[in-house]
Amino acid sequence: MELLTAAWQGFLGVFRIQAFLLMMVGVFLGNIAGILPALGGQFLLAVLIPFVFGMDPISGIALLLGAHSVTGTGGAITSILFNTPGEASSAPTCIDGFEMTKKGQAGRAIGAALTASAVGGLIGAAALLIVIPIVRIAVLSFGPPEFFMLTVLGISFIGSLEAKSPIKGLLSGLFGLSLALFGEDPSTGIIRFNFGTLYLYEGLKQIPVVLGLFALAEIIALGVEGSELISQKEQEVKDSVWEGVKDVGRHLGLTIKSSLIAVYIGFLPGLGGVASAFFTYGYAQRISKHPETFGKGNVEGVIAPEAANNAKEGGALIPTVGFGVPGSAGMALLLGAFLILGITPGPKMLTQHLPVVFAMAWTLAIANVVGAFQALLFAKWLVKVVFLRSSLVIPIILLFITLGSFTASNSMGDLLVTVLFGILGYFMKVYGFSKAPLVLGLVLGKPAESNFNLSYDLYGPKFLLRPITLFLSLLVVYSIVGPMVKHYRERKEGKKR
Amino acid sequence: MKRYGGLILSLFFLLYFILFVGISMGYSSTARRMPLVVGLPGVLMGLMATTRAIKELKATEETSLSSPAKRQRSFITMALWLFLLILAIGLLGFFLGLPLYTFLFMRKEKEKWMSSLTMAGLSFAILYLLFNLTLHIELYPGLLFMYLFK
Repeated sequence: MELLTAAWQGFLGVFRIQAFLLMMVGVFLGNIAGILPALGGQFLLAVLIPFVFGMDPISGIALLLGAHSVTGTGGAITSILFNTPGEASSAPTCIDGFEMTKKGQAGRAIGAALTASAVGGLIGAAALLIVIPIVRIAVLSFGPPEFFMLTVLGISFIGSLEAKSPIKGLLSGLFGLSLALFGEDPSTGIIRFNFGTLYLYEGLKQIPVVLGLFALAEIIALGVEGSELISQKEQEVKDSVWEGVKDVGRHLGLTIKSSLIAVYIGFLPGLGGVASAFFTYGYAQRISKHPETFGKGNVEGVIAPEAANNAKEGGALIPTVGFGVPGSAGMALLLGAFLILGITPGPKMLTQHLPVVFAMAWTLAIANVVGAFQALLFAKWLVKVVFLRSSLVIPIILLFITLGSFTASNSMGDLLVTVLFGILGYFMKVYGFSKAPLVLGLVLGKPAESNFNLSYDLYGPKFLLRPITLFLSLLVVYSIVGPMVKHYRERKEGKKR
Repeated sequence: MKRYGGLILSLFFLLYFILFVGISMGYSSTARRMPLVVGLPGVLMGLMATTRAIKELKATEETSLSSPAKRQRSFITMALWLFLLILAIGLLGFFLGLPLYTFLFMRKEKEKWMSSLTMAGLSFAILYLLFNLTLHIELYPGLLFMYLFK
């Protein structure tokens, strides 16, 4: 009964005027960010997070989750029309989507992609709704040692899987964790790592760091590369979009199966959108009656990755909300925003803020449907943003980055931090250091330290021998050593060839 | 730069973690507990990343540096423009510094006078109408104005 009441309260919360309007704004911006190849979902989240200060939790979530959940929807349009994915996870859509465009079936491909996105999003939201009660039971049986180990597991998974080199990924995660330890020690009150400055007394603030790493670094890259965001001619959509919508109905089984696979992949830390999109593309080819037509403009090759793209968010939200361990950079940014909104993921979230959790599932469902409609209606006009010159885009975005950074705590020091982390983020991008583990470490560092200290004070070093903690520790070791060994073998084989 | 960049970044992380562990040792045993749990593996990973970067550097053949050199110049220019942004806001505040910066940046990118002025005006309008009048957010006025009108 408690769950049903919370689900109903969450539903009503999303349909309040402020929350609903903010969700619409988020969905619109999410579609645009998805379309822009140089920017993307994480960029948009980083820019939007400072603006949720002072909002009630459901309104803030409606804006951020609304924006984040549809970036894959917009990304499909540029993949199909220009062979340029707006988001990395839209890359598999290019393979058959662009071939369909060359055949004069761009409208059909867009219709199929957007409808599959909406259906996938709905399935992801449904999965979240169904799994919440089950996760709740598991989460309530966890204590500080388990939560500490889960944090370490999350960082080690993302660090070792997402970066091109596992060592670089882990280094990035540890760097993020170390930054979170700046400022006052929660146990002793000692001020650590402030380097004699007042600015660091309360530690490094997340917003300026995140804005620098994810937003400013992309702007620097855009400034270095220069020119237009896309250098192709505008494509016209002449054929029927409706035909693509009907295609999803014809391949409903594939759409549902791809979505469910993506929910599962989204749930696993570190794999994320790109893996689910490519995996489901391969799956679609394997079960297709015409596998030979894949890569030559088969609509199934568009449906599967697009359904997966939006469905994975439901799966990714499960560990984020339930255990406070996000599975991707986007989810880590969202987790940071939850903390700003006064919501602490984990057991508290599933007891004290249950309506907010359900509001997330409703937001996912509604945003995905609205996002697909918006993209279908405005695709013709939305694609024009990709022809903007970087010299026009950069000053507008810099305006919002500087304002976002400054208004977080009204300090000029925040602006300097944003610029410094923007430069670091640019170098990390160029030299293959993943930024996702860094932000995950930064967001989870403080709760990890509290859980670690509590565990140590309660059980001493023996906390590592508790059954679940021991199991998680073994998973941590496997997640670190496994990819390193695999990477080492691949390099050796590469040298032999 | 492209060839040495990976090594420089790995070295940066290594030195950072050595410093991090060194500073941690100055704190009480409770306060340094978590920093050491993070810092020591950080030193190890930093060492491994640096060693790998050195190996990769030796394995990489000499390539033409014309394109990376151009990139390097573009990056330095971009970084300088970012520090100019902080300087402009620090001195002139948001209301004057940001529009002026927008105008100068667009002129540097060879945008037309008219579009540069329009964009500068637009950014002032956003700042004033949205942030000042609607959201009532007090933005930094700039050192110059603080000095003149104190």
